[in-house]
Amino acid sequence: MKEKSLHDKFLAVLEMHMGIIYKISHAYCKDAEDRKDLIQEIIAQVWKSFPQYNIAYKLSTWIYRISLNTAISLYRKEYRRKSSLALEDAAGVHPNLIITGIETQAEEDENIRLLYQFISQLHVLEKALMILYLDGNTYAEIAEVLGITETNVATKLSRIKQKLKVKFATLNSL
Amino acid sequence: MEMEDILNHWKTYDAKLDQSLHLNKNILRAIKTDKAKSSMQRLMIARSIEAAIFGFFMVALWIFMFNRLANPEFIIAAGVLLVFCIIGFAGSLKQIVLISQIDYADSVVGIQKKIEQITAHNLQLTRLSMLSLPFYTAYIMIGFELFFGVNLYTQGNPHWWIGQFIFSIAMIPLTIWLYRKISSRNMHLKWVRSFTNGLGGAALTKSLQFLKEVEAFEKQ
Repeated sequence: MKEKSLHDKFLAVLEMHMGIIYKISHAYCKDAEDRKDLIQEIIAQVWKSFPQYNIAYKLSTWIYRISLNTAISLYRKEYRRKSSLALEDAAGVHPNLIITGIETQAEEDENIRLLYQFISQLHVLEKALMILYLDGNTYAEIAEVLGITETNVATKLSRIKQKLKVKFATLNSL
Repeated sequence: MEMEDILNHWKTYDAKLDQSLHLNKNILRAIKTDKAKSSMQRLMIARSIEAAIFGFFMVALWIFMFNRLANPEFIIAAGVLLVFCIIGFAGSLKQIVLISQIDYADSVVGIQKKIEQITAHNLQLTRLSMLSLPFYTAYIMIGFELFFGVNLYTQGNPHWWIGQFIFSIAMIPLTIWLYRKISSRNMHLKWVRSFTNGLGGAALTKSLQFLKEVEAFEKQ
């Protein structure tokens, strides 16, 4: 019964934060299949960490941290399509269908597509910074997720924004 | 396009995502906790095996020494190897503690640094085994005693012993030099990179490079 209630809470949390997981996976994986696998891996990590969730943190901060740490770790390992969570075994169904309706959104808007293209060219940690910034997090929240100072966040964001401005200016002039 | 416009585009996109993303609860309900095996768990197993191997040799060396209390030459030879085993064992235990502290819900920079420090463990093992090079005679002595029942100290040719002694002494400066050179600080040197790559450390080189990047990201 307890397990069931935990699972229900987990599903509710996941449902609320699917967007974060999706955007992070999109920023770190160009390939659609890898992206689905990364989503699966992040969900597995969230599930594993869920019983230890510390209420001292905002739920979104907690999800950002797990998602980014998972994405960066897999990205660093030159991620091969091999997920750690045996969902096929567990459910008897293909695991790539955990979050559906995801593959058309990014491509619909040309600016978003360009933005993802820009993010994909950033350093692995700068990608995290950019996603957190675009999602409207404050410098303090970004600093908390990444574990750096607010001043550092401000300095780095200013550089990235400058690069972004140049990128869009160049594209507009074409 | 100004930053303000970009942020507005992103907000719209975010709202669209919220509407369109759908969580397949039926699949998620089937998740079993025991099915989730992380790479950290695999590393934990590897380090535990490593600690067990060091532990085994520690015990074996103690027994070897205990059974040869009347032969100080064996006590010294086994004692030297025991010191290396204890250092290796302590290193593996430290790794196990580090791995158990990995919590993906901690800050990104902190966790990524810890993960890379864990990956860099192989370099420490290499450096440790390198330090034992001048003491290679200890391995030979113990090996001959265990497998052939020959005490090289009493039965060995004196000229052979003098040769071993000179060679061991000559290896000390080389060992110290290698120990200092083969470190994470010197990955910019081509031969150091080649050396660690030869030991299966291509991933290690990348890890150390990433560790530097994380530290730079933290400091700037």
